[in-house]
Amino acid sequence: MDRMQTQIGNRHASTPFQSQVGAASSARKRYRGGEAQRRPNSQASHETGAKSRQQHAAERAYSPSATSWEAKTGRLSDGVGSSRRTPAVGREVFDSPTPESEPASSCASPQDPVEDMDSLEPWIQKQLVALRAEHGGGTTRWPKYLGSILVPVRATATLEPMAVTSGAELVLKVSPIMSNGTGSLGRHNRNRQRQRLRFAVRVCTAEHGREFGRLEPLEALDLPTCLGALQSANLIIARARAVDCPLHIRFACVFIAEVAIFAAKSMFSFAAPGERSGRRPAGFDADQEDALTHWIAQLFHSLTGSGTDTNETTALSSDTITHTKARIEAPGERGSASVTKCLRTEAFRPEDAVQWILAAAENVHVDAPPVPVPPLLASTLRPYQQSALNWMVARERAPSHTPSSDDTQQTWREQRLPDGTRYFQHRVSGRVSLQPPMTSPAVAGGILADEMGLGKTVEAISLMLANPRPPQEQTRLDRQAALFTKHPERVTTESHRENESDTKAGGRRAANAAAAAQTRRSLVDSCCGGTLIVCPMSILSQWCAELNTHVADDADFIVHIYYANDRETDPLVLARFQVVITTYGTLYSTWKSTQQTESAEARGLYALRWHRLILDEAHVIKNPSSGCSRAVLDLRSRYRWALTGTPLQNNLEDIYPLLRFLAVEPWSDASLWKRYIARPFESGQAAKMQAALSLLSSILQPLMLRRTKRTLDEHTGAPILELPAKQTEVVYVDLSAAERQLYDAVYKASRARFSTFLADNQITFYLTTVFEMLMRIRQLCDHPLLIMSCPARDLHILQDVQKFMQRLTEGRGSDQATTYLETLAGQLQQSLHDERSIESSTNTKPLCPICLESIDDAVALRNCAHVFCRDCILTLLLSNRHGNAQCPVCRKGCSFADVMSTPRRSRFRVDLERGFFLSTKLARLVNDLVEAVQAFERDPVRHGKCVVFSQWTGMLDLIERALQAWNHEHARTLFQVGRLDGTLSQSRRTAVLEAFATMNPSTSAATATGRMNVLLASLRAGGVGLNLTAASSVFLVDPWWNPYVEEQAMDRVHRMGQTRTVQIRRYIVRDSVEERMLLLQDKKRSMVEDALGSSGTENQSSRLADLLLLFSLDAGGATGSRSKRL
Amino acid sequence: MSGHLSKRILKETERLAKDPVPGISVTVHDENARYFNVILAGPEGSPYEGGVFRLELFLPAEYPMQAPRARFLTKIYHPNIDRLGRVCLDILKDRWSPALQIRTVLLSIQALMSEPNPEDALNNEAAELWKKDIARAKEIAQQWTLEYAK
Repeated sequence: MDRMQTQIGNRHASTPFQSQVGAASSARKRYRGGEAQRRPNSQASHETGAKSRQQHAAERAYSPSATSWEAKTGRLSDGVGSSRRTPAVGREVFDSPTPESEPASSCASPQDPVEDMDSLEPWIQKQLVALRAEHGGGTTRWPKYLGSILVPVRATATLEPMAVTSGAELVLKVSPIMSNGTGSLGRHNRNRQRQRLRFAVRVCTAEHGREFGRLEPLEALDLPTCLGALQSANLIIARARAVDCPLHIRFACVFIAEVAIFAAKSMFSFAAPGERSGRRPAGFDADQEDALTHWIAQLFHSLTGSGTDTNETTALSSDTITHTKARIEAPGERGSASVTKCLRTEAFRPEDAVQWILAAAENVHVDAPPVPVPPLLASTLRPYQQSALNWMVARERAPSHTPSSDDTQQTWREQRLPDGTRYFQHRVSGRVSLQPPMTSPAVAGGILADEMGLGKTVEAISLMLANPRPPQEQTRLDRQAALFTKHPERVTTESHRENESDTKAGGRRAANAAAAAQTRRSLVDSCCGGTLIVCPMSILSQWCAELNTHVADDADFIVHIYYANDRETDPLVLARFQVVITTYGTLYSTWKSTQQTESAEARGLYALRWHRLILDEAHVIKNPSSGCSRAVLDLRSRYRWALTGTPLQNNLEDIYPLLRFLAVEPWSDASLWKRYIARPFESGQAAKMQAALSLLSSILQPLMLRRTKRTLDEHTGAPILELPAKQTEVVYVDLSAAERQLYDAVYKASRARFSTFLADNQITFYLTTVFEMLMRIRQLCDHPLLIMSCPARDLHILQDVQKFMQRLTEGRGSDQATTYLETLAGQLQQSLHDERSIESSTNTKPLCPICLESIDDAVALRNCAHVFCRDCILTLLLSNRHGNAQCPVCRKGCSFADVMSTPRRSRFRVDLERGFFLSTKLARLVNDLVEAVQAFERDPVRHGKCVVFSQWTGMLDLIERALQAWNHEHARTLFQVGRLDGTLSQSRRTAVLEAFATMNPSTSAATATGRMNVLLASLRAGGVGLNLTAASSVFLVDPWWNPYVEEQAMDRVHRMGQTRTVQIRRYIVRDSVEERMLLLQDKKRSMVEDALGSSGTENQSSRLADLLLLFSLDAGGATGSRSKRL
Repeated sequence: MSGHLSKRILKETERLAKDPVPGISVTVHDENARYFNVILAGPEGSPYEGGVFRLELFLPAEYPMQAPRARFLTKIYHPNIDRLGRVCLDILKDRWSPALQIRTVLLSIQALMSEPNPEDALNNEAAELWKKDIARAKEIAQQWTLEYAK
């Protein structure tokens, strides 16, 4: 037996069962090694599934005995009888005490009443006794016997006759094998990500440990790899004996062995249910966990025949769905009818589903007991805000959806081990657990999805005040923490000095310090933080401002901003703030550092349990694999809230990360979500889609509150939000003759080029070019100088334009138009000349190595000074999960801290001081601005300030220049211009917004320095989340593809808090691409997204139709035939 | 963001079409802009000279933050390319950098064909032979080229 102890198990771990940590680290090493093999596998499996399956089939054909042995195994299993006891399969009813009431530890106690050793075979009993003596000193009842499998063994050597006989014990040695394409790679092609390192299990004689055979894979299961993977992770131990063994074992003959499998306790605590995925046992990453779970499921499947449900119709019977549905059916009646309708109409498109889900959410009416208005709230709540408060408090105090045992049963199946121990197995993922699966303590929180402008922030603040952290937690903290927080540095430095002090007194002091640190740690564990708010950086300051406004001054309410360098890292100090605000970026970097260290200071936000967690603009986490999305999962909190105006943006998948964040059981489980919602919805079959839709709607119904500006009040029937009127006006601009000539020339040339692409069927190749051409045409509508801001690589466009202009001016008199064009051509020539000289002197094109575009918002890395677009390098840093990012060019290490902004060169190739002139559109805009600003100066009560949106920061430059010119010309400072675009730092941004929000009562021009009355904002940077209600005039200089982006921008001004009539002007050049963009907007008003939507190929034909429209080519007859060819 | 980076794929495709690399032909799949059919000419002076090798190249959703995946569809006898055509090349794995492109990847594969690295083998059999008897190994590679890559 001694020899067996050392031989059995894997080569790496001498004792198969080490402590948890040791086990994990050895497993990790193993899997690191396996990665090299895994990657090529997944490479190969793409698009080659069929091929490798064939290959696999062919390889199997070489082993003729495989199938017949499989059959024999079946027969033998009857003969052996009790060795393969069937555990209580299919016992779905919780007949024993309810899972909730049973003490969790009972399964582990030595007095476990259910263990029934006597019914096991003597051989198994003997093994059990030995194993328990070895691993638990005989005091625990672990490991436990799981069951036996009969496995064919192929001999790899010839033994003496009678060397091994039936019943003889065999020694199993597990070793990883290189999978170099000779193995059965295609076997698990469907689960590509589960392909792992493969293992061989060698069968050796008990006497000499000499290898004489190997376990063969079973038809349904690669048993050697399964055993190997689980045993290496120290989750199981396998013992074997020969069962049906010929007297003389010869090379290549096959005999049968019985493999008895014993489970370590860690197998059941592995990825225990109810725990958040982030709290998995140390040392396993998600991939390994996934793989091991897969093998556990496979193993149980072959042991009991009841692993995971593979058939979609049997798992999670339709009961759950109908059961969940019943809870909503009443209010959702209208909704589900409209699902059917929207699915039946032929025009149904998947993106409509999003609209439908949102619409269904609006139909839900709130019925929660009224909550008194918190006295500390400085502002008054509107009726609909009050009802949101009622709803939120109700969700926190008495969660409406408590998981019942019914729900548990839907996802977990109760089973019994051969010795009678009860365990639970997840129906989909196959995880096993001894603990009765606690499907999370019900979701306390939800999704507040009111449309933007309705005051989600106020609603959240009122919630903080209405349901604060219990006072006893607060006071206990004050009393106890005072001791530690006053001199935190002393405690830590002293414990550092511990080693140096060798005098007795020093030793005592060190011991005291250590004890203090210990106490402190337990205090951190026991205390509870206030409310943690996570929001995008751009609205950090807005949160502070709103908290200032809405919380009464006399409230004992301290807000801490956990951002940048002045953040507080001591958890005990953090716990004393009522509100801590942080950004997603900061949270993510903190999360990253928690992966590396255990010290409470480094863990910062993660060291504490929070009272309430609020994610603002929660759609930020909509990519479930992004760092942010995973970082929020590991925060511990009593209540969880997600605030977003757009819970679903493009598709249903967007909501999953929110459900996962809220821990909505069982739907936060990715496999369940995929099976019941994502996949049916992608299937494209109306019935399945309908089921998925109504299921999702029923999941969301209790969780999500959504009102829009159009929502009517339940009692009065009036719209819940009475905003002042909004007048939208399209200002048509006619180009001057010269501009028209230039525009037409460029436009016609572009159109001709487009037609060539079309004729050659090469639109897909030249999409970027097409969109660039479109951009030039659109810029021409704004101002001819804009196209001179184009990057160096597009110089040919400028050359083209210059040629046009020369041609246009040749042989003409010197009328105004010609002069204009000549001047422009001259400027162009000059700039081209300059550009060429720059280029030839440095011979470098400033292209970003990541996106291959000319660099936009350039940043450099500190260590190597390589330059990239800001977005590109940030994407790279965010996508790097191991914190070992390298410079893409030179592979020097880099991090967020190394990203430095670089000074920006003037974007124009002409000297704005000398060469500046007004375009027709700009002239018109300036006129209107003069009027609007004068109106504001006269009567700031009825007229607000002005906001100008353009999508080109270059255009904003030109507008700024034009307004300065006006000031200069009229010798008075009418325009005080502020600027808001993506290049501003957080503090500059805050300053600009504050200045703009300040309404200076003084109208006298002399004292008016620093009062801003015009804000120039880029559509992208100024469009999201801001509050610009100081303005009442909005000027949209150019149209954007997606009307929703424009609406977002307008809603910055036309939102709650607006008291004046809002005047919106959209400037459109008549008879131009802009006019056709308006048509496109009206036609679609949906997902044109940005020029190249991320959705790739999905609707190329509709995109082609759009392009045809924009180039005003015949879209009627041509679309059909051409789109097919595309 | 993803839109802005998927633009890069179009850009690379466009450039490959406009300015092709000698000895490398790349065609984008009709229905999937991330899938490419590649034809590589066997590099001169290598046992693969004269052969025409077909590869498939796929850009994952995270591209360019993640490496493309490349696989030989033509059978080839090479220590770093296994029977399924998978290529063992550091820049396709841990040494990937977003500054690399489809073009550079294919050039690297071509270079790998010229200079096999038997120390980092994927096809053990070929690697052993390459180390023991390089002449014989090259002969086999040439035979295979004649047989499969014509």
